[in-house]
Amino acid sequence: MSETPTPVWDGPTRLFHWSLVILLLVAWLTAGEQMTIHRGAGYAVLGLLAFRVWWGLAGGSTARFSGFVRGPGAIRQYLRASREGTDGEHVGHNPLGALSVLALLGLVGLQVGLGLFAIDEDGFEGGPLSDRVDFDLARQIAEWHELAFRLLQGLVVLHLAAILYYAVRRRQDLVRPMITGVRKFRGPVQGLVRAPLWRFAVGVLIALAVGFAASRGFRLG
Amino acid sequence: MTPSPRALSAAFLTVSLVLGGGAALAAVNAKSVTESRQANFKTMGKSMKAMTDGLKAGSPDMTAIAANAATLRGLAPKISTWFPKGTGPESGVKTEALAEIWKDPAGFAAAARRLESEAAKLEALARAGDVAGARAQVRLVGGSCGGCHDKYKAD
Repeated sequence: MSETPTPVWDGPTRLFHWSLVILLLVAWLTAGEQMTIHRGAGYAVLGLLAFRVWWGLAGGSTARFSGFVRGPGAIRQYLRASREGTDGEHVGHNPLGALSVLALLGLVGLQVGLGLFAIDEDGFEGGPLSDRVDFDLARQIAEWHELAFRLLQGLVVLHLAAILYYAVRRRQDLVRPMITGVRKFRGPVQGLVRAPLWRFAVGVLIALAVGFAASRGFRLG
Repeated sequence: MTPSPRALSAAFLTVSLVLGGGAALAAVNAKSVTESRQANFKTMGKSMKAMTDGLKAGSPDMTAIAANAATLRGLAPKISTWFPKGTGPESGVKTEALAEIWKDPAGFAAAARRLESEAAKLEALARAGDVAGARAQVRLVGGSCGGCHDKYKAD
Protein backbone atom coordinates (compact mmCIF):
# COMPACT_ATOMS: atom_id res chain seq x y z
CA MET A 1 0.00 0.00 0.00
CA SER A 2 1.48 3.28 -1.09
CA GLU A 3 1.50 5.49 1.96
CA THR A 4 1.25 8.86 0.24
CA PRO A 5 -2.28 9.56 -0.97
CA THR A 6 -2.33 10.34 -4.70
CA PRO A 7 -4.52 13.17 -6.00
CA VAL A 8 -7.18 11.88 -8.44
CA TRP A 9 -9.94 14.51 -8.69
CA ASP A 10 -9.22 18.25 -8.80
CA GLY A 11 -11.31 20.71 -6.80
CA PRO A 12 -13.41 21.95 -9.74
CA THR A 13 -14.39 18.40 -10.72
CA ARG A 14 -15.49 17.64 -7.16
CA LEU A 15 -17.32 20.94 -6.90
CA PHE A 16 -19.09 20.15 -10.15
CA HIS A 17 -20.04 16.67 -8.95
CA TRP A 18 -21.54 17.67 -5.61
CA SER A 19 -23.21 20.80 -6.99
CA LEU A 20 -24.92 18.61 -9.57
CA VAL A 21 -26.08 16.20 -6.85
CA ILE A 22 -27.59 19.03 -4.82
CA LEU A 23 -29.17 20.78 -7.80
CA LEU A 24 -30.74 17.57 -9.11
CA LEU A 25 -32.22 16.92 -5.68
CA VAL A 26 -33.57 20.47 -5.50
CA ALA A 27 -35.04 20.17 -8.99
CA TRP A 28 -36.62 16.84 -8.13
CA LEU A 29 -38.19 18.06 -4.88
CA THR A 30 -39.56 21.29 -6.36
CA ALA A 31 -40.86 19.81 -9.64
CA GLY A 32 -44.49 20.73 -10.26
CA GLU A 33 -44.64 22.59 -6.96
CA GLN A 34 -42.20 25.45 -6.58
CA MET A 35 -41.53 26.17 -10.18
CA THR A 36 -39.48 29.34 -9.67
CA ILE A 37 -36.94 27.34 -7.69
CA HIS A 38 -37.24 24.42 -10.13
CA ARG A 39 -36.43 26.69 -13.07
CA GLY A 40 -33.55 28.25 -11.12
CA ALA A 41 -32.09 24.80 -10.47
CA GLY A 42 -32.42 24.05 -14.18
CA TYR A 43 -30.50 27.17 -15.19
CA ALA A 44 -27.79 26.33 -12.67
CA VAL A 45 -27.56 22.76 -13.99
CA LEU A 46 -27.21 24.09 -17.52
CA GLY A 47 -24.40 26.38 -16.34
CA LEU A 48 -22.74 23.46 -14.58
CA LEU A 49 -22.93 21.32 -17.71
CA ALA A 50 -21.32 24.10 -19.74
CA PHE A 51 -18.59 24.25 -17.11
CA ARG A 52 -18.12 20.46 -17.29
CA VAL A 53 -17.74 20.52 -21.07
CA TRP A 54 -15.12 23.26 -20.74
CA TRP A 55 -13.40 21.32 -17.96
CA GLY A 56 -13.50 18.19 -20.13
CA LEU A 57 -11.50 20.08 -22.72
CA ALA A 58 -9.27 22.27 -20.57
CA GLY A 59 -9.44 20.95 -17.00
CA GLY A 60 -7.32 18.60 -14.89
CA SER A 61 -6.08 15.40 -16.50
CA THR A 62 -8.73 13.08 -14.98
CA ALA A 63 -11.58 15.39 -16.03
CA ARG A 64 -10.51 15.54 -19.68
CA PHE A 65 -12.65 13.65 -22.16
CA SER A 66 -9.50 12.81 -24.15
CA GLY A 67 -8.11 11.22 -21.00
CA PHE A 68 -10.99 8.95 -20.06
CA VAL A 69 -13.33 8.38 -23.00
CA ARG A 70 -12.36 5.04 -24.55
CA GLY A 71 -13.59 2.93 -27.43
CA PRO A 72 -15.53 -0.37 -27.24
CA GLY A 73 -12.32 -2.36 -27.56
CA ALA A 74 -10.82 -0.81 -24.44
CA ILE A 75 -14.10 -1.35 -22.58
CA ARG A 76 -14.20 -5.05 -23.55
CA GLN A 77 -10.59 -5.42 -22.50
CA TYR A 78 -11.33 -3.73 -19.18
CA LEU A 79 -14.30 -6.03 -18.56
CA ARG A 80 -12.20 -9.12 -19.33
CA ALA A 81 -9.37 -7.96 -17.10
CA SER A 82 -11.89 -7.04 -14.44
CA ARG A 83 -13.30 -10.59 -14.43
CA GLU A 84 -9.80 -12.02 -14.14
CA GLY A 85 -8.88 -9.51 -11.45
CA THR A 86 -6.00 -8.12 -13.52
CA ASP A 87 -7.51 -4.73 -14.41
CA GLY A 88 -5.18 -2.93 -12.01
CA GLU A 89 -5.93 0.46 -10.57
CA HIS A 90 -7.27 3.51 -12.34
CA VAL A 91 -6.49 7.10 -11.54
CA GLY A 92 -9.76 8.67 -12.64
CA HIS A 93 -12.54 6.98 -14.60
CA ASN A 94 -12.02 3.43 -15.81
CA PRO A 95 -13.15 2.68 -19.40
CA LEU A 96 -16.56 1.40 -18.26
CA GLY A 97 -17.10 4.25 -15.80
CA ALA A 98 -16.40 6.65 -18.65
CA LEU A 99 -19.57 5.41 -20.35
CA SER A 100 -21.52 6.13 -17.20
CA VAL A 101 -20.14 9.69 -17.07
CA LEU A 102 -21.08 10.34 -20.70
CA ALA A 103 -24.55 8.83 -20.24
CA LEU A 104 -25.20 10.89 -17.12
CA LEU A 105 -23.96 14.13 -18.67
CA GLY A 106 -25.93 13.45 -21.86
CA LEU A 107 -29.14 12.61 -20.04
CA VAL A 108 -28.87 15.59 -17.69
CA GLY A 109 -28.34 17.75 -20.77
CA LEU A 110 -31.40 16.25 -22.46
CA GLN A 111 -33.41 16.69 -19.27
CA VAL A 112 -32.58 20.38 -18.94
CA GLY A 113 -33.02 20.93 -22.67
CA LEU A 114 -36.54 19.47 -22.56
CA GLY A 115 -37.35 21.51 -19.46
CA LEU A 116 -36.62 24.74 -21.33
CA PHE A 117 -39.57 24.06 -23.67
CA ALA A 118 -41.95 22.28 -21.31
CA ILE A 119 -45.17 23.74 -19.90
CA ASP A 120 -47.57 22.51 -17.22
CA GLU A 121 -51.10 21.39 -18.01
CA ASP A 122 -52.48 24.80 -17.03
CA GLY A 123 -50.38 26.48 -19.71
CA PHE A 124 -49.05 28.61 -16.91
CA GLU A 125 -45.73 27.43 -15.48
CA GLY A 126 -43.22 26.68 -18.20
CA GLY A 127 -39.61 26.80 -19.28
CA PRO A 128 -38.15 30.02 -20.69
CA LEU A 129 -38.50 28.75 -24.26
CA SER A 130 -42.02 27.29 -23.91
CA ASP A 131 -43.38 30.29 -25.82
CA ARG A 132 -41.45 29.11 -28.89
CA VAL A 133 -43.64 26.00 -29.21
CA ASP A 134 -47.42 25.52 -29.16
CA PHE A 135 -49.37 24.13 -26.22
CA ASP A 136 -49.61 20.56 -27.55
CA LEU A 137 -45.89 20.30 -28.30
CA ALA A 138 -44.93 21.93 -24.99
CA ARG A 139 -47.14 19.39 -23.17
CA GLN A 140 -45.58 16.55 -25.16
CA ILE A 141 -42.13 17.86 -24.22
CA ALA A 142 -43.21 18.05 -20.57
CA GLU A 143 -44.07 14.36 -20.74
CA TRP A 144 -40.68 13.58 -22.25
CA HIS A 145 -39.17 15.72 -19.47
CA GLU A 146 -40.79 13.39 -16.93
CA LEU A 147 -39.78 10.27 -18.83
CA ALA A 148 -36.17 11.46 -19.14
CA PHE A 149 -36.15 12.02 -15.39
CA ARG A 150 -37.18 8.39 -14.81
CA LEU A 151 -34.26 7.31 -17.01
CA LEU A 152 -31.98 9.67 -15.10
CA GLN A 153 -33.13 8.15 -11.80
CA GLY A 154 -32.32 4.74 -13.24
CA LEU A 155 -28.82 5.85 -14.18
CA VAL A 156 -28.26 7.34 -10.74
CA VAL A 157 -29.34 4.06 -9.15
CA LEU A 158 -26.89 2.25 -11.44
CA HIS A 159 -24.18 4.76 -10.45
CA LEU A 160 -24.83 4.11 -6.75
CA ALA A 161 -24.97 0.35 -7.31
CA ALA A 162 -21.58 0.46 -9.02
CA ILE A 163 -20.13 2.43 -6.09
CA LEU A 164 -21.56 -0.17 -3.70
CA TYR A 165 -20.14 -2.98 -5.84
CA TYR A 166 -16.65 -1.46 -5.77
CA ALA A 167 -16.92 -0.91 -2.02
CA VAL A 168 -18.10 -4.42 -1.15
CA ARG A 169 -16.54 -6.66 -3.78
CA ARG A 170 -13.41 -4.73 -4.69
CA ARG A 171 -12.74 -3.03 -1.34
CA GLN A 172 -12.41 0.30 -3.13
CA ASP A 173 -13.95 3.36 -1.54
CA LEU A 174 -14.91 5.64 -4.44
CA VAL A 175 -16.88 8.14 -2.38
CA ARG A 176 -14.13 9.50 -0.17
CA PRO A 177 -11.85 10.45 -3.13
CA MET A 178 -14.76 12.41 -4.66
CA ILE A 179 -14.83 14.40 -1.39
CA THR A 180 -11.14 14.71 -0.50
CA GLY A 181 -9.74 14.45 -4.01
CA VAL A 182 -7.10 11.91 -3.01
CA ARG A 183 -6.88 8.14 -2.96
CA LYS A 184 -4.30 5.61 -1.84
CA PHE A 185 -3.02 3.15 -4.41
CA ARG A 186 -1.24 -0.15 -3.93
CA GLY A 187 1.33 0.43 -6.63
CA PRO A 188 2.96 3.47 -8.17
CA VAL A 189 0.57 5.43 -10.39
CA GLN A 190 0.60 8.62 -12.45
CA GLY A 191 -1.52 10.99 -10.37
CA LEU A 192 -3.71 13.87 -11.45
CA VAL A 193 -2.15 16.70 -13.45
CA ARG A 194 -3.92 19.86 -12.38
CA ALA A 195 -5.07 22.65 -14.67
CA PRO A 196 -4.04 26.25 -13.91
CA LEU A 197 -6.42 28.32 -11.83
CA TRP A 198 -7.22 30.79 -14.61
CA ARG A 199 -8.92 28.00 -16.55
CA PHE A 200 -11.21 27.41 -13.59
CA ALA A 201 -12.01 31.14 -13.57
CA VAL A 202 -12.86 30.97 -17.28
CA GLY A 203 -15.08 27.95 -16.57
CA VAL A 204 -16.95 29.83 -13.85
CA LEU A 205 -17.56 32.73 -16.23
CA ILE A 206 -18.85 30.34 -18.91
CA ALA A 207 -21.18 28.71 -16.38
CA LEU A 208 -22.54 32.04 -15.17
CA ALA A 209 -23.04 33.31 -18.72
CA VAL A 210 -24.86 30.16 -19.86
CA GLY A 211 -27.04 30.00 -16.73
CA PHE A 212 -27.94 33.66 -17.02
CA ALA A 213 -28.68 33.41 -20.75
CA ALA A 214 -30.95 30.41 -20.12
CA SER A 215 -32.85 32.30 -17.41
CA ARG A 216 -33.55 35.01 -20.00
CA GLY A 217 -34.68 32.45 -22.54
CA PHE A 218 -31.50 33.26 -24.52
CA ARG A 219 -33.05 36.64 -25.39
CA LEU A 220 -30.30 39.07 -24.62
CA GLY A 221 -31.55 42.15 -26.39
CA MET B 1 -101.79 -18.22 -13.22
CA THR B 2 -98.12 -19.05 -13.24
CA PRO B 3 -96.03 -17.67 -16.05
CA SER B 4 -94.66 -20.26 -18.42
CA PRO B 5 -90.91 -20.96 -18.31
CA ARG B 6 -90.69 -19.49 -21.78
CA ALA B 7 -92.32 -16.21 -20.65
CA LEU B 8 -89.99 -16.13 -17.63
CA SER B 9 -86.87 -16.52 -19.71
CA ALA B 10 -88.14 -13.90 -22.17
CA ALA B 11 -88.70 -11.51 -19.28
CA PHE B 12 -85.26 -12.31 -17.90
CA LEU B 13 -83.68 -11.69 -21.30
CA THR B 14 -85.47 -8.37 -21.66
CA VAL B 15 -84.40 -7.20 -18.21
CA SER B 16 -80.79 -8.19 -18.80
CA LEU B 17 -80.74 -6.49 -22.18
CA VAL B 18 -82.11 -3.28 -20.69
CA LEU B 19 -79.72 -3.36 -17.73
CA GLY B 20 -76.73 -4.35 -19.86
CA GLY B 21 -77.59 -1.81 -22.50
CA GLY B 22 -77.97 0.84 -19.83
CA ALA B 23 -74.57 0.01 -18.39
CA ALA B 24 -72.99 0.10 -21.83
CA LEU B 25 -74.67 3.42 -22.54
CA ALA B 26 -73.40 4.84 -19.24
CA ALA B 27 -69.90 3.63 -20.13
CA VAL B 28 -70.09 5.31 -23.52
CA ASN B 29 -71.34 8.47 -21.84
CA ALA B 30 -68.59 8.49 -19.22
CA LYS B 31 -66.06 8.13 -21.99
CA SER B 32 -67.44 10.89 -24.18
CA VAL B 33 -68.07 13.17 -21.18
CA THR B 34 -64.50 12.65 -20.00
CA GLU B 35 -63.08 13.27 -23.45
CA SER B 36 -65.06 16.43 -24.03
CA ARG B 37 -64.20 17.91 -20.63
CA GLN B 38 -60.54 17.14 -21.26
CA ALA B 39 -60.85 18.97 -24.58
CA ASN B 40 -62.41 21.92 -22.74
CA PHE B 41 -59.60 22.07 -20.20
CA LYS B 42 -57.12 21.88 -23.04
CA THR B 43 -58.79 24.91 -24.60
CA MET B 44 -58.34 26.68 -21.27
CA GLY B 45 -54.69 25.61 -21.10
CA LYS B 46 -54.11 26.97 -24.58
CA SER B 47 -55.73 30.29 -23.65
CA MET B 48 -53.60 30.46 -20.54
CA LYS B 49 -50.42 29.77 -22.48
CA ALA B 50 -51.35 32.33 -25.13
CA MET B 51 -51.67 34.93 -22.34
CA THR B 52 -48.46 34.03 -20.47
CA ASP B 53 -46.57 33.94 -23.78
CA GLY B 54 -48.17 37.18 -24.93
CA LEU B 55 -47.43 39.04 -21.71
CA LYS B 56 -43.72 38.20 -22.04
CA ALA B 57 -43.48 40.57 -25.01
CA GLY B 58 -42.27 44.14 -24.60
CA SER B 59 -45.60 45.53 -25.80
CA PRO B 60 -48.15 42.73 -25.54
CA ASP B 61 -51.18 42.47 -27.80
CA MET B 62 -53.75 43.36 -25.15
CA THR B 63 -56.73 42.65 -27.42
CA ALA B 64 -55.58 39.04 -27.72
CA ILE B 65 -55.01 38.85 -23.95
CA ALA B 66 -58.55 40.14 -23.34
CA ALA B 67 -60.00 37.60 -25.80
CA ASN B 68 -58.23 34.70 -24.08
CA ALA B 69 -59.24 35.95 -20.64
CA ALA B 70 -62.83 36.08 -21.95
CA THR B 71 -62.54 32.44 -23.05
CA LEU B 72 -61.56 31.44 -19.51
CA ARG B 73 -64.22 33.66 -17.95
CA GLY B 74 -66.84 32.11 -20.23
CA LEU B 75 -65.82 28.47 -19.63
CA ALA B 76 -65.29 28.71 -15.86
CA PRO B 77 -69.01 28.73 -14.87
CA LYS B 78 -69.57 25.62 -17.01
CA ILE B 79 -66.92 23.53 -15.29
CA SER B 80 -69.33 21.97 -12.77
CA THR B 81 -71.52 20.70 -15.61
CA TRP B 82 -68.59 18.81 -17.12
CA PHE B 83 -68.53 16.48 -14.13
CA PRO B 84 -71.87 14.61 -14.01
CA LYS B 85 -72.12 11.80 -11.44
CA GLY B 86 -70.57 8.58 -12.69
CA THR B 87 -67.74 10.20 -14.64
CA GLY B 88 -65.18 10.02 -11.87
CA PRO B 89 -62.46 7.44 -11.30
CA GLU B 90 -65.15 4.77 -10.65
CA SER B 91 -66.28 4.97 -14.29
CA GLY B 92 -63.30 2.93 -15.46
CA VAL B 93 -62.46 5.65 -17.97
CA LYS B 94 -58.95 7.01 -17.60
CA THR B 95 -59.35 10.28 -15.74
CA GLU B 96 -57.41 12.36 -13.24
CA ALA B 97 -60.61 13.72 -11.73
CA LEU B 98 -60.65 12.93 -8.02
CA ALA B 99 -63.71 11.63 -6.14
CA GLU B 100 -63.39 14.81 -4.04
CA ILE B 101 -65.21 16.69 -6.83
CA TRP B 102 -68.43 14.79 -6.04
CA LYS B 103 -67.85 14.70 -2.28
CA ASP B 104 -67.39 18.46 -2.06
CA PRO B 105 -69.47 20.00 -4.87
CA ALA B 106 -69.71 23.35 -3.05
CA GLY B 107 -65.92 23.66 -2.76
CA PHE B 108 -65.50 22.61 -6.37
CA ALA B 109 -68.02 25.20 -7.56
CA ALA B 110 -66.30 27.85 -5.44
CA ALA B 111 -62.96 27.01 -7.07
CA ALA B 112 -64.55 27.49 -10.49
CA ARG B 113 -66.07 30.81 -9.40
CA ARG B 114 -62.63 31.94 -8.28
CA LEU B 115 -61.30 31.27 -11.77
CA GLU B 116 -64.26 33.10 -13.28
CA SER B 117 -63.71 36.23 -11.18
CA GLU B 118 -59.89 36.27 -11.59
CA ALA B 119 -60.30 35.83 -15.37
CA ALA B 120 -62.90 38.61 -15.46
CA LYS B 121 -60.46 40.95 -13.69
CA LEU B 122 -57.74 40.04 -16.16
CA GLU B 123 -60.09 40.68 -19.06
CA ALA B 124 -60.92 44.13 -17.66
CA LEU B 125 -57.24 45.00 -17.12
CA ALA B 126 -56.41 43.85 -20.64
CA ARG B 127 -59.25 45.92 -22.12
CA ALA B 128 -57.94 48.91 -20.17
CA GLY B 129 -54.50 48.28 -21.66
CA ASP B 130 -52.90 47.90 -18.21
CA VAL B 131 -49.87 45.72 -19.03
CA ALA B 132 -48.34 45.71 -15.54
CA GLY B 133 -51.73 44.98 -13.97
CA ALA B 134 -52.37 42.16 -16.44
CA ARG B 135 -48.95 40.64 -15.74
CA ALA B 136 -49.73 40.55 -12.01
CA GLN B 137 -53.30 39.36 -12.54
CA VAL B 138 -52.34 36.49 -14.86
CA ARG B 139 -50.48 34.97 -11.91
CA LEU B 140 -53.71 34.94 -9.91
CA VAL B 141 -55.55 33.32 -12.79
CA GLY B 142 -52.85 30.66 -13.02
CA GLY B 143 -53.01 30.25 -9.27
CA SER B 144 -56.71 29.51 -9.47
CA CYS B 145 -56.02 26.65 -11.95
CA GLY B 146 -53.39 25.21 -9.63
CA GLY B 147 -55.44 25.80 -6.49
CA CYS B 148 -58.31 23.74 -7.85
CA HIS B 149 -56.05 21.02 -9.30
CA ASP B 150 -54.27 20.54 -5.98
CA LYS B 151 -57.52 19.46 -4.38
CA TYR B 152 -59.60 17.95 -7.15
CA LYS B 153 -57.15 16.49 -9.64
CA ALA B 154 -54.60 13.68 -9.43
CA ASP B 155 -50.97 14.71 -10.23
